[in-house]
Amino acid sequence: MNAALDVSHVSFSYGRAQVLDDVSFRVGAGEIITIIGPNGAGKSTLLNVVARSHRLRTGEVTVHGSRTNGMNQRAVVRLGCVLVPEGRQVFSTQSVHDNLLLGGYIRRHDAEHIHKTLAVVYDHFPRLLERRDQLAGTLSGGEQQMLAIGRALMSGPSVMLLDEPSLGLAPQMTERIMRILGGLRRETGLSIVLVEQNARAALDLADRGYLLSGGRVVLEGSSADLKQDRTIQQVYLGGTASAPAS
Amino acid sequence: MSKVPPALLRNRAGQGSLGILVWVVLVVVFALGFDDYYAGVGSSTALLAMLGLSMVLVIGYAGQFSLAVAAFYGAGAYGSMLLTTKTGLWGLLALVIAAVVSGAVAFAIARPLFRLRGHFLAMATLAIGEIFYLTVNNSTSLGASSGLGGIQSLKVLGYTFATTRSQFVLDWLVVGALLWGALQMRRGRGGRALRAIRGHEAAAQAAGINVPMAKSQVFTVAAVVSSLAGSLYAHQVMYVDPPTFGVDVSIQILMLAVVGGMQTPWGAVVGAVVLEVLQLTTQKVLPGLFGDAGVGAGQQLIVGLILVAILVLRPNGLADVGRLIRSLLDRRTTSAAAVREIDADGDDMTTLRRKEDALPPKQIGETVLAASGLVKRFGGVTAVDDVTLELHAGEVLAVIGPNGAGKSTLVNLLSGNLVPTSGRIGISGADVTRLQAHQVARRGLARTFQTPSLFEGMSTLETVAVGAHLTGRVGLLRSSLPTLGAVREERRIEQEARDALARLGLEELAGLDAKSLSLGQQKRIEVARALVANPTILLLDEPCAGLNKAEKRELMLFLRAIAREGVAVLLIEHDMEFVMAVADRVQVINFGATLRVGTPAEVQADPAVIDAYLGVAHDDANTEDEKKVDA
Amino acid sequence: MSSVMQVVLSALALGALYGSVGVGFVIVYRMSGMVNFAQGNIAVAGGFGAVAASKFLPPLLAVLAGALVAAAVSVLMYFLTIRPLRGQGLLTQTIVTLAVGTVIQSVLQLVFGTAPHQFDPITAGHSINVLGGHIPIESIWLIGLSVVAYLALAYFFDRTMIGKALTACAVNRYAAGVVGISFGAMAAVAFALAGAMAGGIESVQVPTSFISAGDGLVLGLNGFIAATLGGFNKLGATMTGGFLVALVAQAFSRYVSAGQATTVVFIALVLLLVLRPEGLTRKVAADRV
Repeated sequence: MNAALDVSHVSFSYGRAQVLDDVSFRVGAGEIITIIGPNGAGKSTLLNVVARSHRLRTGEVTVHGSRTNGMNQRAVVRLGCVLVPEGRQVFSTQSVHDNLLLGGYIRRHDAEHIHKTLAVVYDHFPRLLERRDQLAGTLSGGEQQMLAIGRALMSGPSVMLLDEPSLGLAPQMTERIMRILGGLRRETGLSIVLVEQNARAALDLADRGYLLSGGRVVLEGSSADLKQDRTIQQVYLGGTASAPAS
Repeated sequence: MSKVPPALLRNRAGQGSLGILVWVVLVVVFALGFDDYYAGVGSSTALLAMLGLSMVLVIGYAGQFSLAVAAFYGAGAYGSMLLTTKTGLWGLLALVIAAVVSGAVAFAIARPLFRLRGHFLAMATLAIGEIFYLTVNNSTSLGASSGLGGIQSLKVLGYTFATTRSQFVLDWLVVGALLWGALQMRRGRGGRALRAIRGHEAAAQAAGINVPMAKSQVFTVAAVVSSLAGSLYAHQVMYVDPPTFGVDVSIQILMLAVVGGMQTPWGAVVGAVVLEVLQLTTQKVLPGLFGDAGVGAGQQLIVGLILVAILVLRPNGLADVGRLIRSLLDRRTTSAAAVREIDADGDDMTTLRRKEDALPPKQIGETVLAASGLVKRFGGVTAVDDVTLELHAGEVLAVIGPNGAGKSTLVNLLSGNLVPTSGRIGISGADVTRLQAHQVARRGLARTFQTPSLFEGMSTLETVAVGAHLTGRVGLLRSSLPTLGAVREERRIEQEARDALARLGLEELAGLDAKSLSLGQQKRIEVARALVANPTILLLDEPCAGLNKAEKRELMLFLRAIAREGVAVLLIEHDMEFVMAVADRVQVINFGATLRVGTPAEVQADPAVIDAYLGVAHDDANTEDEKKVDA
Repeated sequence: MSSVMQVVLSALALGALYGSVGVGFVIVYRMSGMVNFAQGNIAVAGGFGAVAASKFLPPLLAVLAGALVAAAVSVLMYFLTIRPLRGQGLLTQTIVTLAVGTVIQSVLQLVFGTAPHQFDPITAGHSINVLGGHIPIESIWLIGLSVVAYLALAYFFDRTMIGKALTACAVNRYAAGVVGISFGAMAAVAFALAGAMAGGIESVQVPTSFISAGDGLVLGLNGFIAATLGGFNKLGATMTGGFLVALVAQAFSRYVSAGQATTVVFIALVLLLVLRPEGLTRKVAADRV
């Protein structure tokens, strides 16, 4: 079985501070997995290492069987693995449409692909079509998140890495984004790695989950199992948590 | 090892006087050994070194990129020239007047000028240099482009510095004095404040340093030094013309300071000598290569290329080599101690807290910090939305909330690093809402930062000593010319800094470069820097990030202990085990507003808090069956 | 009336030059957040490239050669000095651009000497009379070509994918990397454009006045003022800013004192930086807080 994305034994440090300690996970084709954990667990770093925004020193990452260790960011995007970064990071002074076009930058010479994918994105996000010519910086947080996802889709990925899409969003908007992601997977067979602090929303969507704490995977399993596990609440709210979740 | 033996201090003073003696002897020996030509070259090298020193003060110490040096150099030269020839003043008096006027002008323009930073400051000061040049060049009363002459040699106490040799001795003694002063300044409270500004302005301000004032002062001192060099130039060359004080002179001085190294005043001396040697050699070699006409441009080219090469290969300059070697030696002797860690075994934090709670209850005092209705908007984004909080003497209050809830912004508002859009902040009843960070610090508030904000190139001990800024009074001048009182104060600050380090278990790291340490050590150094100011209020922004288990436990006990001493502690933290163990009360904020305030147990059991952290589950909304959503 | 017109016409020509150098500053600054103090010297290097090319090429092609030379110098500078210093602070980068400026100036002095140089205008003929003011034909070329170059740049940034990618890098470097845009390649393009614009227009200017190796500093300072007026962000406002600088200088030298005109412009620069760092735009670009 060839995994869409296979991350094995990855460690990472900023200077002397070790952020990731021997982390492994894999995502099958069309699978949604989530990596949850409290702030500072190393989740963002993990995604940035996979997307080659940070240099990988220890461990191995393969996308559809190709090792990405020596690659730069562009090559990883070409392989079909694209990041939706934390805090949206849209090109705020450029229009919604330009943001989407830039998402397809590495395939800018393939007019047919761009045309087709634009149609798909606008179909999934009618709100973006309405605001096509508006500057991205003027969108609401939820709309910016949609734009960031749409931008990532433009490169025609097979694996999408999402870094905290619920950050700063009201619960309703988070729910909406999660539903859109579920729809995307169903229709396009996209594999999704969802990094979330919002554990419940993430586990509702994902097939499997990994709990990251202090740079290590401390728990993994199916979403249904993880939802029942008390460890998560302990990690999030401290050791003596006693009240059951409502 | 916590107390500096007095013998060591005396020893240092002894080394100082020995250094001065060696300097004087060397200057005299060189003066005797040089013929007139080389003595002349040596004198102009000394003037370059003085200008380089003035640049090291502003750029190297304070980190402010000013290129105005040549203008003040010119002001001194033209000032001495005019005052002695037109009014017949004594040379020494004219020199002093020119320096005072230069300093006054510098002080007057510094405030508005140093609101600028980086490139824009560089360009503005470059323009000031060009304005000076053009004004002189266009002014017939200043001799326009043909310049002015007629000045006599400098006469001091009846002795006339007429020969090049005597000028050589005078110039290099002045350089020696300035060098000594700059080295003292670097060590003292004033210089430490400047270097803190260079390293991290917000942290310097939070330590109580009046940043605009400090910048103005150092700019003024530098202008006085440049003016002094200008006066000496006028008396020795006996002729002044505009190109000598043009913008490219500033750039040349910048280059020599960079080549020598900006971090230490020795860099100016090394740079001046290297530049002069380079020019002497090229003068001999270049005519053969480019013809006589090409000498000036050829020299510039070679100096420029060398500078580019040095910048690309050794950005800290030549004088830094010595420091590099020393730091390597340092590390060899202390690295064993540096990695020592508190043993990882022992009780967990919850148990420790239970033990502490068994002690007689600590006194919770009156409200020392009160904020009401705080709102902060950045553009359209509301980061903090109507937060009200109260902090009492002797308690530990933890502010928690999910990522992006506006917690760091809240700390920045309370410490005066940001100004709230609306709302009120009071410290012990006094309104501090609109005060700047250094004024808030003066009211007894100290803080740490989320990402360690230490100062580049400063040792751990020096970094912590910056925190004691407000407990001292020695200014820039007394730092450079230490009086007995200044030495005593410095000794006290050093002792207090060592005590603070010891309290956080960092005493072995005192001599190491603070920024080279581990994240956890850096965070603890920040706590020590805040502690040394004897604050009544301590704000900690994510103190646990990067700390290992044992370090966290130590920190928890430490915070409980200082709260018992009456300090009010407010902290922001994600590590819930730590929060629940350390806090007396916990305030939860989400989407910028307060969600709940209560004891750790109350907060942990609150369903709304659990939802905020773990997210709201939607068991009824089965995502798989949902139709495509119109977004 | 005719003297007013004369001032305006001269300011248009000179302003086109200052604006073009300013646009060079802005393109590099938007991309990398640094001010290239060698910008004026790069423009002058382009001018001398045109001088050398004019020996065996017609003037219009010599101007093109000038633009190419300046672009090459600019790109070379990026790869040899700016890129290796990526990790260093602003201070080091700025000092290195100052040093590069000195190097360029001294190389030009060694090759061409300190004497002023000139070459033939693009089209022969005398000045044209416009509403009572005289303007040399070369100045019309200067104004015309700078407008064309500006429009081409505007088209490039607004309409082409590479131009949009360049802007994207400037807006959010991290996100640009995430979508697969290579920062190094984009920076090289930015430095090339900045050099070509400044060097090309400086070359057009050579036949009406002279060029000497030491012109870089003052040209750079004037271009910097134009860029400041443009908020170090907007190309159009920068071109307008160039015209305003030239207008102030020309008017002052005609009606008050020719000698002090430059001084007044620099005093205006200092006041401008301190009082209104956002220039003619509304956004604060200067990093003061």
